[in-house]
Amino acid sequence: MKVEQAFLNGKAFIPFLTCGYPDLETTEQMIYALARAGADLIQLGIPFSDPTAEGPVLQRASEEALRAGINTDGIFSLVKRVRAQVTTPLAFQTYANIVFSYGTDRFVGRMAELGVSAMILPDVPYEEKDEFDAICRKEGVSLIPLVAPTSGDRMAKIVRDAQGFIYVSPSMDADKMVGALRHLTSLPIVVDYGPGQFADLTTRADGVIVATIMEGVVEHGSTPDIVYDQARTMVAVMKGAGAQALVL
Amino acid sequence: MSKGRFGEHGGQYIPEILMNAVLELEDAYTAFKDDPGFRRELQQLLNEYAGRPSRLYYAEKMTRDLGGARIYLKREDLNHTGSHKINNVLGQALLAKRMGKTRLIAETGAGQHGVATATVAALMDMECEIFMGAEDVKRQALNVYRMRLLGAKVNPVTTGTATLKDAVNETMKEWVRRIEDTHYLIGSVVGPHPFPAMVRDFQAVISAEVKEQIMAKEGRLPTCVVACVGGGSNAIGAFYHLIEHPEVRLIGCEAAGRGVESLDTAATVTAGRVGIFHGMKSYFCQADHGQIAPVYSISAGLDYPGVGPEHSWLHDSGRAEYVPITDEEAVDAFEYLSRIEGIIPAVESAHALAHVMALAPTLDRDAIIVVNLSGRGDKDCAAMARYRGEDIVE
Repeated sequence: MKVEQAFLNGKAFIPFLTCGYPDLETTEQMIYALARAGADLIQLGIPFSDPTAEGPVLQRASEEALRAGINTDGIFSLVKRVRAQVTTPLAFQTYANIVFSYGTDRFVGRMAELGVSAMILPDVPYEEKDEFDAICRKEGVSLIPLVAPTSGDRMAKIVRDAQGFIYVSPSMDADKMVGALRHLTSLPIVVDYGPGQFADLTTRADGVIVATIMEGVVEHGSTPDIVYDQARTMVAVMKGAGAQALVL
Repeated sequence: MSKGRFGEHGGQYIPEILMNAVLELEDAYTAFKDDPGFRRELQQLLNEYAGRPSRLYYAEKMTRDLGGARIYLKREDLNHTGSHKINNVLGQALLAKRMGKTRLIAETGAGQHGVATATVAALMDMECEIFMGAEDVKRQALNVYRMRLLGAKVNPVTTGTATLKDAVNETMKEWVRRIEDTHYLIGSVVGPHPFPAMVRDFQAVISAEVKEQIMAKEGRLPTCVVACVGGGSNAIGAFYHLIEHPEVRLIGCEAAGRGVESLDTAATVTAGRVGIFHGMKSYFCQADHGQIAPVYSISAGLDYPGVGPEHSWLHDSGRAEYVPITDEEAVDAFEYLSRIEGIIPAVESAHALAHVMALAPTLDRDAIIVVNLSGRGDKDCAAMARYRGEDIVE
């Protein structure tokens, strides 16, 4: 399955989950809840001991998941179970060392086998992408490029030959960047509003990464039912008339 | 292969948001490193402010006692702020200033690099914030006071293992938050290119001086150069100008903590695997599935799960040897040098001395060992006393 499918149904709603918090069974139930609620793509975070791109709440989730013994193979098994139930596109977000230490060939091969369409590695910039991208392309997995408000002139080369979608990293200028990127690429553009920030569901972008649902799981112990309700409301706002400038 | 490689090691594995800052730094460094004005200003600071060149001291009593090779101590402990760290901070701060930055941020383990950064920030009128693991803040209370005294803000880091690696994580995040006016003054030969090469160049003054001094004293190069390795800045500084002389053995001493077979170790080259972390590919202590392992050493300055990429390359190519030294061996050496030469070494440097104590007797009397005494040990006295069971608080 190609990650592009996530953008066939209007603006894409892309919730983020930290795998294994509080445990893998709950993560599995959350995935079903999000899929039922109409998520277009689910971004699955594989915990890393030093998640330098995460905010404090999701960092805590990673640390606790690791303390509970979560590992890459456990997450692949989870995905295998999930894939038997749902067809929603899935993406992994993790760090270079998780993939590298597993063996990049082997890791990406497993992804392809299990139908995980995209990989987001925040500590792999354009300059270092080739060692991952070559294997991703071979396996039909999209390595998603990230752009930042400081990217400036780099944006053009980052999006050139990119696959899947363009990931706009958190900043105050995210929406402005969407405009600039439109001139450079025809790929879908997805905005991440960052830790603790409510997503602007009416954005001009083609999709929105939503971390607040997962943050609610960590901070308020949201159950899969609550997660379902929150996701459904967000989907309704995004896919509805879209006219109301409602920010959730 | 991307820039800044040492064999397969090195590179620039950092978030996109930092890339332009790192590229800008690389450009500035390339422009200034051979600029006569920059070099003159740095040289003057090294001489007049830091007190360079540091002495190369013939440790006669130690030599006689160990009964083998002639032992020289490169006295980086006599530099201003008490360690080799000043060499790098002067260079980077001067560069940051020329780049128009007004604020320095840095990580610190034992506090040596934090103190050095706070010192140079005071000297150059720059704002300064230091990130230090909460565990280290406890272990090194006096250095925390020193940094504050010098005008720096010290931020205890409570995430992860609350030690040096977490301090690096948080400093990296702070750089992401505020990049415009801020330079991240990395304290060792780690991180994304150009840091490993740039910090090495600023520390290479050590081996440049060693070469000159040993030629003047002995008329030949040393048989071995020995230095402790955490991230590896004092070691690469001591090795650099001797790498091109294959007859000189280069030996890095890693912190084995309670032993390389135990989980309480920080001996990265000995116990680690190649990985990607803190902006570089290099050897790292790792648990299963690529998680960075919690590491341990009695020395807060060596308590780091990685090592600079150039060291990884020197290891792979066989040009340098890396040996593990336990806490116990290091503390023995700490006490030994204090008694035999009247010099109290930093516990980090004591790891190198411990290896010299084992190595010197096995070498001929005309062999020459240069050991880099990277820092002074005043900061460690309370911890060493406690290690020996004395009830002392700072």
